[in-house]
Amino acid sequence: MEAHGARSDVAIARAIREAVRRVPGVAEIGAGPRVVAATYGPGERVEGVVVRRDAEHVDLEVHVAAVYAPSLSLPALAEAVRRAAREQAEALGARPVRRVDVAFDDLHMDGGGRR
Amino acid sequence: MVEAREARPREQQGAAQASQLVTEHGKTSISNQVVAKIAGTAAREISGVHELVGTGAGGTIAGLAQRVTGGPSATQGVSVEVGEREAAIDLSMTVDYGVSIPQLADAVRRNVMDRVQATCGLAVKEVNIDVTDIYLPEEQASEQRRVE
Repeated sequence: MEAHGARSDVAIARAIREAVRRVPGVAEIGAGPRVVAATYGPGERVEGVVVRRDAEHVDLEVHVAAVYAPSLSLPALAEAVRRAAREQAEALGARPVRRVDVAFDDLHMDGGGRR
Repeated sequence: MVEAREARPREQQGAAQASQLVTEHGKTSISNQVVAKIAGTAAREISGVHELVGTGAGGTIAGLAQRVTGGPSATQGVSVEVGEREAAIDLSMTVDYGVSIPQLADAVRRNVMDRVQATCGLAVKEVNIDVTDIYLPEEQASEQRRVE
């Protein structure tokens, strides 16, 4: 089922989560009012990251809350998230990555305590 | 991707739909909540906009709660419909006494369109502005007394 030598989907999802969290402009992963997207494994669930594999490809989906800034460009941030997710997955043997869908579920407004 | 999401509470209505910016390496979806926060922030930036307010009973209660708790939520008074590549935005606001409402509305409209386009990559088809009240400083003072 899994490609030879590849890590488990949950391990890959966890690595993607950590990598995407470090992308500048990302506030959190799996945030938002009603995220049900997750990768499920024994005793663990990684929310906000979905790893889907078939025989030939890997498709990823990442749910992100962004940090607001006047210069924010969500399409550009999506590309950075996409790149980080793809690199992690491929480094862990989940390849080739065909698509990385990025969903911006929420926006964190900086300062002022506004939600 | 889960498309069928549950209905949301009133003020977040419409947030269930998301826009999609499709690329060959995957699609990018932006929730209505995100677009609403950007539009609300852009509207508040214009001098003369007093506050964005929800309409109807919900808005009145929210307005009261806001005065008591301090701090509006970023999406209050903003309702957004997002399609694949364009968005329509409704704003409901109070304005300061003495402003020219048509000029203010134009400035708000322009800023909202610019910000949403720049931030989300979405063209804004229309920005409808509903001015629900004029802010008079003395009115606010008497309301403050009533609340206390």
